[in-house]
Amino acid sequence: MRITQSMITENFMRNLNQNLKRLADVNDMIAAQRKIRRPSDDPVGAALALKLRRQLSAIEQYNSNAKDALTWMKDTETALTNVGDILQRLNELTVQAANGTLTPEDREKILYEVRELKDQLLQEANSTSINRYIFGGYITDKPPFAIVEKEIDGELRKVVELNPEIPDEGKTIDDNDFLEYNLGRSERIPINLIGPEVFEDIFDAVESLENALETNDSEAISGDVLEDIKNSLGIVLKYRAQIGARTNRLEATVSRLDANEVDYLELLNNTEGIDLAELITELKMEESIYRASLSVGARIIQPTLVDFLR
Amino acid sequence: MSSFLGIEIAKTALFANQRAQQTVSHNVANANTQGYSRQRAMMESTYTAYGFGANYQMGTGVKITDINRIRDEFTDRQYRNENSSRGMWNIESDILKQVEAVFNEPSDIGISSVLNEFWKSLETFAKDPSSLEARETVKERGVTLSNTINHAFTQLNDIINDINYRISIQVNDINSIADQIAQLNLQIQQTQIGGASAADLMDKRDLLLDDLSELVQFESYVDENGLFTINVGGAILVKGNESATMEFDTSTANGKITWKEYSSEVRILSGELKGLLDLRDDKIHNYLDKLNEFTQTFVDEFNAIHQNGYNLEGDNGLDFFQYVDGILSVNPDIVNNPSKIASAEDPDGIPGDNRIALELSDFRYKEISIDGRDCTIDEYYGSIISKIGVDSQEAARAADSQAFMVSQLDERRQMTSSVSLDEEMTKMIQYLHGFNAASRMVTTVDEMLNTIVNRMGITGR
Repeated sequence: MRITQSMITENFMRNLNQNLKRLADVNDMIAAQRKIRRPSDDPVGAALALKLRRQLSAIEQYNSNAKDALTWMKDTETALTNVGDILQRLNELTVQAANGTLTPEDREKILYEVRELKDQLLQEANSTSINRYIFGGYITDKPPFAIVEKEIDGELRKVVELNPEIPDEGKTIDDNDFLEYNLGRSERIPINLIGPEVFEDIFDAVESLENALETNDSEAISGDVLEDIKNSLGIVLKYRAQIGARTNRLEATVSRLDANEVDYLELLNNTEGIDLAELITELKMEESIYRASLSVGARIIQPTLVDFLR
Repeated sequence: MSSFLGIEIAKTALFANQRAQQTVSHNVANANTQGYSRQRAMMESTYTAYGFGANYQMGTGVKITDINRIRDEFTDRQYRNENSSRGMWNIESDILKQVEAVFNEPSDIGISSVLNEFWKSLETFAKDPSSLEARETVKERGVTLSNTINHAFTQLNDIINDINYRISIQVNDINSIADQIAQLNLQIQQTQIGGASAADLMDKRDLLLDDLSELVQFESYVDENGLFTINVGGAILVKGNESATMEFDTSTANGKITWKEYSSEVRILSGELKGLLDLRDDKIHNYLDKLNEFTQTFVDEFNAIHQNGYNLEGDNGLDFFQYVDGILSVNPDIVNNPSKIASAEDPDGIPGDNRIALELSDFRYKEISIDGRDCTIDEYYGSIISKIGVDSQEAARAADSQAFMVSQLDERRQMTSSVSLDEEMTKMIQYLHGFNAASRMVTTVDEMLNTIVNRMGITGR
């Protein structure tokens, strides 16, 4: 094979260039901290990376959904606990009122406290979570309940009713007004309790107590009214259990999503991330190859016959 | 037989060695000239048929019959074919890298990330459709998404414009090369008619052919009339001293390259020009189609859901996105008033009813029929990115292997044609000795003549 000086030079330049290109490539990967910098680096990996990023972003979102739902649950739980406490006190008062030996003043006092408690109940029924009424179904912007004056048996009475502003233009709180949050792909959780379902019987019970106290109907108080108040306590317990169960589910979801996030991050890192130790080793290797080829270059200017002729 | 023949013979040797020495000098001078093939002075002995009354052949010296260039034309052919292919893949790889940069995936700023942000904003919106902040975010993310997609369209179209610009430059280059080759053909022909070799002119032509091969694939041959001919895709580009002209229609974005003389389209098999046309009419065209399909389907399906809902003002949903004349935007009514984003399935459920908002955020999981297959909008986008990645990877690999092939073939050509200084120095010494010896011959014959003329017949003086 015939070799000439220009061939050696050209070969050297080509190889040097290739070595430098590889060196630059490894450098670039380390600087970018990613081995897939463009789809052509690994088309399959790039598609997978896109998918994993998508899933990670969804997981993050579901996690935030679940946490927001938990806030709502906590606020609902607080409201229901308060309602339970109020009902407990009402129960005591009812038992007290059922005692036939009460003086009219005592009854008056009890009636006063019952009315106070009713106001408190109303407040709880109109609880909000971050400015939204929890028990209003889809009508989150108006308090679901209000005290209205109503004529009952020819007498004007103040009773708790659905907020009269709500049925405006046919709007009403529907039994199916469930506010749902996404917790995953086709996985949803209803976060709210429907106010009228929870509170209708409770307010009825309180108002019948109020009524019986006003009319001094101790028979009713010890009978139906006491029964109703006790039932109300049961209702609250039932819904607290529901909220408790949802809270558990949400907490489980949060910890599952946290674990998923770690898993997917690792997967993503395996797909598009770099193994620094490996790459640094590679970088060192490419560096020494490049240095070696440079030192070869220094020798390219070989003596020719010219140097030996005189 | 002349007494002076001996001097004559030595003189031819002096001239021949001198001429050969000049060739060596020419080689050394051009050792680093691109496209230069080393040359050799071809020597031939001269003779007269028969001596006076004698039955033998009489040598009369040496002459240079030709200055040959040493070149392997078979490898030239191979080199140019592979070089065309290298040119094609190289330019495809280059431009596909630009396309990848347009999409910038996977990253935190590509369409997929912006799309993810859009989905997230919809989720937040679904959690509390009454929140104006959440609505504002959906609107903003929608605008960002529109801008990002529009930007990709603009940049892809810019690349196509750039390709057209390159095509027009290359067509000019080809025409100019064809013209130069035709002129060289004429010069070579004239030189050869005079009986001389045209080594340096032929080198020039070969260099032009190398350049041409990068742009477009061709066949070159000498036709039956001895005319050097270049054939591109079945049509004659150059024949002898005549060349044809390619014309590129720049009036449209997908203009064709035609022959001015034959008024037919130029068939291009390989070379950069082929790569550019492939990208413009096939690959990038295809990505634009797919991106358009993606955008159109996304807009149609998303709007369909949105229209089913009711906004905070109790009205039916508008078109959330508008996709007109290839430009995506969020409905200006919504941009001005995000309360117009629909969230409720039932007008009675305003503002808390989030069923439509949930459906909008679940749209990401909806299998839709796009481009003849069922997949989600995200998956379809992912498939576009994969396709670009695969195309670009294929082009880069092919370009690499072609570059290797071309460099191997070039090495083979260099093996034959390039100047070796060692070799030239050896020849230099060789011709120097030849020259010295011939000079000595002149002196010797001179001495012989001296003997005859001055020293013979002096008896009796």
